Amino acid sequence: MLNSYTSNTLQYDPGLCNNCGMCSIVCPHGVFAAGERVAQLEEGQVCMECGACQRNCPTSAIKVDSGVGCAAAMIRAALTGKKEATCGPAIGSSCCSEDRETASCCDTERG
Amino acid sequence: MSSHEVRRRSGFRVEYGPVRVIDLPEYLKNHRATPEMRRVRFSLPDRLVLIPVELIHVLLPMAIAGALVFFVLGILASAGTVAAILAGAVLFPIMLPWLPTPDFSVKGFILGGLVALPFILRMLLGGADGVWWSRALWALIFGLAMPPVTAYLALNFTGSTPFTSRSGVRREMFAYIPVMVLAFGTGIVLTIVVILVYGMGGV
Repeated sequence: MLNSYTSNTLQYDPGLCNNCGMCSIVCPHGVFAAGERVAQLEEGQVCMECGACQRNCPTSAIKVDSGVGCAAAMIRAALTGKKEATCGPAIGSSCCSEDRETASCCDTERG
Repeated sequence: MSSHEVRRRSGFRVEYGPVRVIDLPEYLKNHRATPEMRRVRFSLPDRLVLIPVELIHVLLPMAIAGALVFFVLGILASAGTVAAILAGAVLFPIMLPWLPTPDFSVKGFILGGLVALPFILRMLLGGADGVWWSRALWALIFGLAMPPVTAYLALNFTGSTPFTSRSGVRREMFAYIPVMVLAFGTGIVLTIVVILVYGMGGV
């Protein structure tokens, strides 16, 4: 109730993890922590779905429907019928400027 | 950035450094970023620097809406319009962590309600002109129209933060935008009714 952020699209399969430790290094919120044999999913609820862990997981043990948690961008996408903004390069659109080749999250407009 | 892809394609090894520039000297000593260096924060200074950006986004709409409401309804309604917008653009980023509930829209409704309160009390208790039910109607209009404006701007602030997920923001949008539209729309309809009954100006 009054918390829309209790669940997200993050999925982790420990069976595929090779314990390289990259997920715990790249995550800006400490969602993953280094474990003895495999990475530990510590705080899945605080995941902001940036997709850094998925991009840096060499065994595809982590899956997340990454995107920008930006209402302004989503509303704009809904109104214009354009593709919803995502994070990272080479996806096709940045969070605020869909024409860019290299995404930069919102240096010209609100993100 | 995918470190294993960079390495596979170029041979270069990617290092993930600190998030904040202030940690760079420490990081460069041994090229190791501590977990604390890698964590994003959203402290008061981080939020304060965003206020000018928020202001620039709302400045023109606020000037137009404020002027329009001033000519149609008067100074108090115009002040309410400006206050609701400024609350969303300036007060909300400052007060973000202290407003209750995790949902930005609810935080915005609460802040908008607090900002609307003086206007409501002025109508109900202050020396406003008009019969009691007219003043009660205006109090209702302030209470209905101001909070959704602040809440909408608060919802739009999600993209400026480093912690809101897309699925969470989407849930917020589906849950609260209809409430915002309903409340604001009712306020506008009531305003039109008042204008039709009493004519323009006077608030």
